[in-house]
Formats: sequence, structure tokens, C-alpha cells
Amino acid sequence: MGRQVLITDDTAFMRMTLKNILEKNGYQVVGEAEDGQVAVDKYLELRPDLVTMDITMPRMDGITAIKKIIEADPEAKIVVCSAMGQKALVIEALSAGAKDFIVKPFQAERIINAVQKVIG
Amino acid sequence: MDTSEYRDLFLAEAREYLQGLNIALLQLESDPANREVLQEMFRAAHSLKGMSATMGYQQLANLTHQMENVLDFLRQGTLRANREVANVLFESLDLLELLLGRLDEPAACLEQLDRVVGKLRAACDGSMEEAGSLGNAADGDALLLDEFEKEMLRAGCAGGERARHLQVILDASCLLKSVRAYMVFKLLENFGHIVKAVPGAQELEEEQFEDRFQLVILTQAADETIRSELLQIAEVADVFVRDVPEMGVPSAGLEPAVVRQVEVVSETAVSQEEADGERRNIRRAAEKTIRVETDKLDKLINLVGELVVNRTRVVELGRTDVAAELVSAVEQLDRITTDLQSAVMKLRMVPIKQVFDRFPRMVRDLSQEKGKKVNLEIRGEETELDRSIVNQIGDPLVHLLRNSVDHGIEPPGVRVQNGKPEEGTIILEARHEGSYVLIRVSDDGRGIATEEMLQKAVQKGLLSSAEAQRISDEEVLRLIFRNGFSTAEQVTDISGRGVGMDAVKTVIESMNGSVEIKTSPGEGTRFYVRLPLTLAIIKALLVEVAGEIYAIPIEAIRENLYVAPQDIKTIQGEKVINVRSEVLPLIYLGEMLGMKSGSSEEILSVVVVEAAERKTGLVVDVLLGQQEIVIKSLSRAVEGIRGVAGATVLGNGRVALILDVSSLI
Repeated sequence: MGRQVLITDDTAFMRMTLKNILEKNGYQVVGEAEDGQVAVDKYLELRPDLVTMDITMPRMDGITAIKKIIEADPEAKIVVCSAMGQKALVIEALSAGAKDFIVKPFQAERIINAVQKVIG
Repeated sequence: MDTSEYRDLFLAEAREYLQGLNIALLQLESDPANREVLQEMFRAAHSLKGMSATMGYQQLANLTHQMENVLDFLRQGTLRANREVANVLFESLDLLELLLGRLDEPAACLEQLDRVVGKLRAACDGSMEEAGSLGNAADGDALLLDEFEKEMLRAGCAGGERARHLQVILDASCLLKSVRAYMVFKLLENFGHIVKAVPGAQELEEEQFEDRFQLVILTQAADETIRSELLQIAEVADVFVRDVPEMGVPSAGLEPAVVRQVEVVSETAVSQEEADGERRNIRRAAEKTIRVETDKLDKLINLVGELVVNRTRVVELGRTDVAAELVSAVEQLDRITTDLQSAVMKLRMVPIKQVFDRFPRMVRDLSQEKGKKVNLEIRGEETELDRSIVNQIGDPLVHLLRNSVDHGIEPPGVRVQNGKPEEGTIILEARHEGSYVLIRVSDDGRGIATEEMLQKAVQKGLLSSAEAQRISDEEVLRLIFRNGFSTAEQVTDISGRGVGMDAVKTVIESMNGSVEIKTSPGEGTRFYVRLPLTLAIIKALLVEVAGEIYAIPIEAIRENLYVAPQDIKTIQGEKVINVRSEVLPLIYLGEMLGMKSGSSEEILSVVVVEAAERKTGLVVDVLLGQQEIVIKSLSRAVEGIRGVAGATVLGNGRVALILDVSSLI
């Protein structure tokens, strides 16, 4: 069975894109979250191998969510999904404990490359 | 992305870069310290990498990436451009060329690629060993440690840490490079601490770097650990860990170091300026030209050819008409079309540089292989020639040059014994000479021993011993161009197979050119290749035979004679004439071409032509006059008829066949 991934993004389109790419490459998408709060809740519930985390989201942003998840599980593996120009935020997310980042628009190759390096 | 439509453009541009790299590498070999050349090469490799990756040519991208690494070390001064490194780079360029030719076979040359990439990597590793012996980097990106940083490193080393120099290379397509750099920094903090970054932290954060940066760190971790950990970060393409160059240099105290740094900085500024200037020049030259498909050009030339033919016709009509205004209009038209024609013909002209450029590399490889020292001097590479001639002249010249390196130039030891400089010189020169271009290939080698050649020729049965007695030195030399003749003791893979020189002659003569050879034993050999400026339009003598008009290329004609019947002698059943004590065979063109000669003239018109060093008299009915004609090739159905080289349309609309003199006689 493939490694389990939780996808976090506030747009359904991006979630679908990511899900397609990951599933095509043998990963199992066990959950989807539309904001930071849902992501934290689902993480605690599902304990996936990897979380992809959008940064700008309503209710709770990605950086806060990363901090909360790492607080609950210091070993959590999180990959940040950012848009171009969010450099400062990406660095903040990385220093909060995210393992890597991918830049939108997504390219399958890059995503898989990043995911592989984090969880194999 | 569908990139197929960019393929041709990619290829053309990639080939230009490749050519540039070849030339630059040769330059570098003779002047290893030349930083501008290195900078130029690095940029070229970098651009090639980017282009290839964009087009999805992974092998090319991989190869150029490794080349780029080696070149980067070279320009930093941490790797010396010695012969091995140059050879590896040359090998890479060869492979690059090979790959460019096989773009559609993604799996082609994989083994070769692995081998070359391995060698390139080994060259980079070599730089780690050599690092430290060279602290002379003067590049903008070079590592310059100030006293404070050196002090820190010394203190760290005293405390049991090791100073390491890291080169981190990111994927060319990496986005948010600064964040990747941040991740590298963050990871390295687990191993030790960063003393210096080039470019500095500020520039890194503002993404003011290409795809690589250097770090100096103090660490206790093993090089391999650092490397493999860093490679775990996504989009980190490669990492090199090595000694810090400056640490190997004994500390020279504060003052000299500062002075040196200042010098180095100003030097950098100058070279940067120069490089910029050079780049601007290159760009300016590029803006002055446009690329045009050769098909379009040929079509234009063909149309102008038609125009010229019709002009001639109008001009002829104008002569018979009495209306003065028409006559002057026609004259005007005549002038303009003449100018137009010469302007269009110039479009076909390209500098012979295109061909010459590949020779330095070839001569270098060859002389290295043969253990000879050869300096190739190229002159007149800006000389322009018709494109189709330029395309064809390459192979014959390759052969002549190979011949000079292989047979002409002596081994260094022999040269010194004979009181010559150790290094032989081959001069390749092109220049205009009337309506011809003369290409001279001369060497200062051993020359050709005519005695030896004569013996060989008799041995091989090319000559009888009786003939050998009478033959002049000049004629002996011409034997070189005979099929089946070779003077080389041993057949090498380069020359000496005896098939080369006659092929050279055939190709050159097929372009209406000629080749001549001169030699002085012990002093060298010179080959003179004469080529017409263009193949599309020639001057020809029009003659009439049995009511038909034929054109004989002027180049082949030596003179025209009127011969009285009593001057024709018969020797061994063949008709000959005696012209200034030279005996020339006569050919009756009408009979030769299978027509009834309609001439009943008492006095024969004879055109003396020369081809393949042989003169012959062609008997024709009427000499009509000289004219410029546009050569039209014959359709495939009538191609290859002996004696006929093509056809042309005359001013009056009649078609005339162009005679191919060399196959006639």
C-alpha cells in the first residue's frame, strides 16, 4: 500500500490536481482539508505519512497549522505548497518545521521529487 | 510542451554554441589563464544546458551540466586547464555534436555519455585535490576570504574542525532559489557553521545568483555526509566539497593580503568590462544578419537568373528597334538587372571561415595522435565563396591538411636534427584572385621526394620504366592525384590509402576548380586549390556544331585557333595538331556528340581546352562569342550524359547544352 498523504488547499481544483498527481505515482490520498484548522484536526485523526500544506487559507493559515501540527507531532512531515512571490512565508514555514516546498503552478515531476525526498 | 517547432532553431543555435566552444577551447589550450575565454565558455555551456533542458533533451542537459561544472572550476581557478582537462572537454564537445545529430534517439550514445560524464566528474574531483595550490581566482564569483574570515577558519581548525569549501548547484529550473539556499543554510547549521557565502547572504536572499553558490563552512562532518545530506534537498542538483583554497596558502600577514585583494578586485572589474564589450560586439554582429532558409534564397537566385536571361532577350530586341527611347529604357533595364544580379549573387556568398573554423581542432587532435607538433596558421578566413562551394570544399581540404600533418610535417626529433624549429607550421590561406578564390595549404615539412615517387609509380605499374625516364618532376608530382597511388610506407587510418588525393582532385574539378602541387624537398609542400567564386553563373564561349549551340566554360578554354587542313597530322591513327611545338589531339565535337557536322569550311575552328592537365583541341563549326550564362541543372531523366554538364537558356530563348570538358576528353 502506498504512503498516506493528507492534502491541504482551499481550492478544490488544486486539491484535485495534487490528488491526481500523487495517486498516479502510487501514493494514497487519505484526506483533504480546505483550511488550516481542518488540516490540524485531520492530521491528528489520520496520522498520515505526509501533509501538503497551502499557505494562504481562510480560518487558519498554513503556517499556523504547521506550527500546531509540529507541536503535536515533532516528527510530522510537511511539504509547503506556495505561489511564486511568497518567499518570506515559505521561509517562515520551513523554519516552523516544514520539510520542503513546492511552487505553484504544480509540475508533477517536482511534486513527486519533493515528496520522495521527504518520505521516500 | 510541444517543442518540435523550435527544433530547427534549437539545432542551429546549439551548433553555433558548439562551434564557439570548440574555438574557445583551442584558444584556452594555448592560453590557459585566459579568463574571458573561460567566462565565454562557461556562459555557452550554461546556455546550452538551459536550452536543452527546455527542449527536453535530457542527455544534452546532463552533459552540458557536467561541462558547466568543470568550466566553473576552471574560471574560479580551482582547476587548472591542463591537457587532460582539455581532452575531456574536447571529448565532451564531440559527444555533444554526436548527440545533436541524434536528437530523435533519446537512448543513443548512453554508454558514451556515461563515460564522458564520469570523466567530467573525475575532473571536478581532481579540482578538489588541486585546490589549495591555487589561490589566484580573480573572477567575480571567486572566493576571497578577508582576514577576519581567515582568522575564524584558523581558530576553528585549531579547535578540531575542518574548513570546507562547498559548491552547491541548483537545478536550472529551480523556482524560489533563495528558499532553496535557505534550506541549504538551515541544513548546514546541523553540521557546523557557515563562515562565508559567495554570493553573500544578501544577494542569495534577493536571488541575485544564477544556479550556484559557494560556501565556506567549519565542520566535523565527513565530506561525503555533507554532500549526501545536501543532495537530499529537492532541486539541489550537485554539491562539491573540497579544501578551502586560501587555507593552503601560508598566511602572509594583513597588509599584502589586502593589497592583493584590491588588485584582484580591480582586475575583475576590467575583465568584466572587457567581457561585456566583447559580448556587445557579438550581439551587434548578430543583429546585422538574419537567417533565411536556403530554399528561399535559391528560389530568388533562380528568378533573377530568369530575369537576366530575359533581359538579354529584350536588349537584343532593343537593338533592332529604331525607337531611341526604347533603346535607352532597355539600356537602363540592362544596368539595373546587372546590379540586381550581382547583389543577389552576393547573397549566396558566405565567408570560408565556416569551413576553416573546424580545422584548428582537427589539426590539434591529429598532431597529438601522431606525436607531432604543428601550428596551424589560418589566413583570409573572411574570403567569401559561393555557399555550395563552401559546402563541398570541406572534405578536400580536410584531406590536404591531414596529408600535411601525416606526411609533410616531420616528428619533432627529426625536425630538430634537420635544424628546423621543433614545431611545424601549416598555413591555410584563402584569397581572391580574379574571378577565382585561391586556397593555399602549405607546410614546412619534408617535402615530397620525387625520386621515391617515381620508383613507386613504376612498381605499381602506373608508369613504364621508359616513361619514367622522360617524365618531368612536375608530372611526377601529379601522380599523387592518380587513383591507386600512395607514398606512405604504412597505411594509416588518416591518409596514405591512395584513394584520397584523386578524390580531392575529382571534387575540386567537379566545381570547375583546379588543384596544383609544388614541393621543395626538405622545405615543404604547397597545394594550390583554385575555385570559381560561384557555380550558378559562369562565363562561357558559345559555339555552334551541326546547327546546335553549345556552351564551353571559359575556365576550361586556353585559346581559340583557326587551323588549316594541311596542319592536321595523324599519329597512330589519331588526328593531332602542332601548336607551338606542343602536340594536341583533335576531337571533332560533331562526331563526338553523334551529329553530322554541317561545316564545309576549309579552315577549322578549334577551341583548345584543358582539363585534368591535358590539352585537347575541339573542332567546332562556328565560334559565336562569349556570354554569361545561368546554369540550369538537367532533370533526372537526362542526368549523367557524358560530356554534358547542364543547360542554359540563351537570350533568344533557345536552349544550349553546357559541355563538361573533363568528361569529353
